Amino acid sequence: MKGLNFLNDILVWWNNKKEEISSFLVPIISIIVAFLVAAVMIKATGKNPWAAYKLLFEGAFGSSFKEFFSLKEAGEGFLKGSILTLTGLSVAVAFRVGLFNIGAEGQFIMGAIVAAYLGFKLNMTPWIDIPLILIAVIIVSGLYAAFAGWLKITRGVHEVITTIMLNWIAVHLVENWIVVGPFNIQRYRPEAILAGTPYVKEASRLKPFFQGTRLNGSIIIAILAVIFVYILMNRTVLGYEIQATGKNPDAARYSGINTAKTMLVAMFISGALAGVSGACMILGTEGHYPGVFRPGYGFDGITMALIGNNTAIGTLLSSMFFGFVRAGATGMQLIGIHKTFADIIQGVATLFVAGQVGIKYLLFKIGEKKVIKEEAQSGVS
Amino acid sequence: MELAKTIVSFISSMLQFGTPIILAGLGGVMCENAGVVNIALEGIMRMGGFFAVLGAYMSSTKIDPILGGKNPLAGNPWVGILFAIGIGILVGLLHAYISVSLRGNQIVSGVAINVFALGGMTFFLERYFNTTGHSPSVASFMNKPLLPHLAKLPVVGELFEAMNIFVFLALILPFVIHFYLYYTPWGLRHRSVGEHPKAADTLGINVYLVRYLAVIASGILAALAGASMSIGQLDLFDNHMPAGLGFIALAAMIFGKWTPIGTFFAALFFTLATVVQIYIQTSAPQLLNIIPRGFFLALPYILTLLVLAGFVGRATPPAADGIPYEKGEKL
Repeated sequence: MKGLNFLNDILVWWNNKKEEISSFLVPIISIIVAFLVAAVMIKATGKNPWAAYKLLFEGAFGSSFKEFFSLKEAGEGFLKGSILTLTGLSVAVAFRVGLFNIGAEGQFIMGAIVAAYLGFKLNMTPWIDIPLILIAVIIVSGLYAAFAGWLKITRGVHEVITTIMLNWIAVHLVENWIVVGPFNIQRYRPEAILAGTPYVKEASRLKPFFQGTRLNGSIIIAILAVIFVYILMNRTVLGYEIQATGKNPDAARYSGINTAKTMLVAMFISGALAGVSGACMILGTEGHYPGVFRPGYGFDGITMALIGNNTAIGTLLSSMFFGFVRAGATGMQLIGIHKTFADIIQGVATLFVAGQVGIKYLLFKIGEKKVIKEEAQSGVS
Repeated sequence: MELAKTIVSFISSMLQFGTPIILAGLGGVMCENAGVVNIALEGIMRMGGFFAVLGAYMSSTKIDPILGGKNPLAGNPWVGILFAIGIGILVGLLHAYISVSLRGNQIVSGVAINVFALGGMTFFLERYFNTTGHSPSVASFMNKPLLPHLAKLPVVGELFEAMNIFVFLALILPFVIHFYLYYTPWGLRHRSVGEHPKAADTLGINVYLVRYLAVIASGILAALAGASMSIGQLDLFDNHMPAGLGFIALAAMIFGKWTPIGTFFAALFFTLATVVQIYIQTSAPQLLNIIPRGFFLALPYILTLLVLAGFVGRATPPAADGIPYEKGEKL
């Protein structure tokens, strides 16, 4: 009966740890299932899923180790991953305080336009310019998000609705007013044929690390942000208050936490992170605010945070993973699969995360049934 | 007479532009009055729009004499509507399964459907039409008035000329749904599930069934809204569709305080901003220097924010909106 006891030990251990384990098992299962579903879709369209995924892999990592380490392909994945990490963290911080920040897209746009304007105006050295721009972006985008938090606290309006509205207000005002009006490139250079704002000065650009890759300082900013959020959440009083407010606002209030202030600060941080993400794109790869700029990274941030279980490290991992999927999906165009294929994987994976109650239920059930059986058996003997 | 003509053409373009917003907004009304939040309207519209075109294309049996392959214009647009309804039911079922049966997060589910629609429809567009821009022109309801005889009338004729099947639905359904929600026993059950599911359950109402049906109805309406853009206003599916109209519909629903008729007027009011902007652009473009275009486009959202914040009236959602219901749960 020793073998059975051993098995029982595993099950008991599983039952004790299942909450923790399933929190990272659910995203992994979701992603695997998403790839299977997408494979069926590829197969149904008469293409070879295996060949498609091979192209995806090569597009993401390069076809050899040499290419991987020269960052020719991998640099793109890290770059996209960094932008996603920042918007993902933005949504994750808001989630932790119990708010659903769908407005990361709007805050991303606000950050982008502020960066585009200041990047054009300032021309000192990168060490002064870039921090200055980021501070301005943090203030503007942070306040934009905090406004939604303020409406929630003082007026009781659901933040999902207000942040959706604020998204579209940002999109339309920036795209159809600021970019075509006051900040338009033709105001400064009438001969310009490009749409959008003037180009950011050299001193404010986040330049590629070296020739042959687009990877730039965004990744450093993203990693700093991950460290910031990790320390904030796990090592500071504010982080503790944020989590307490998120878990149970009433209990938090009775224990003396100023929940209104905590929500506002968390929303500010959330908006600031999304704004920095937008700034990274403008100062890095884009170079100016283009006429039409809807990369959708703000919305992607929601899925990154959810798949990353709203933790700093989890968001980093899921963002980097999907950064590589996005970079690799470009390679699939060789056999006629559009790069928005990455959205299919993301969408399906998120659906499973949304229905995670179901996955967890199944996972837990496996454990429970067997333990009961084991206990019954040991009771008899 | 001139004035009357201008007003009629104003109203007719408002109805045309407003149709997708009204239909999708009604989808939101059905769903949220039963207590399920549906921010997937945008995604379902996108799928409905694409599948309507696909249906119209697939139903064609004639061979194109020049290019070979199917003649896309020889199909039947009614099949397109059936396809749209079909995909609406499917996505509605999925959203209902996650938010009602699994009691998952309804907003997350909605976001996921939106994200999937974005990539998925591009994928299908490439698969069926070998493009990522827009599909070929298919048989559609564009410029096909439902009542062609009335379109010959002087002055008001223009109104009927613009009225295809979708515009007609958008005019009728708000009142039909109003009657259903407030004057029939089923409507009472529907709303009670959204306000107080526990009480409804105690009275023997099947909360899950009502919510499932409401979410499916919402999926059908949103898909029809998408179809009204692709085979109603136009005769093709453009990859940019529906360009945020699903979210405007959501705003219209809130602006209309979760009632069908309120949503109808809110949607028309929002399209007024668009129509005025187009009107200014064509007849008085210098005015846009004073009031930028972006302001008109952002106006619906700014107004909705003001309403929500209680500066203009007050909007209260159904009490149990967004809260999953678990049978036998102790309060």
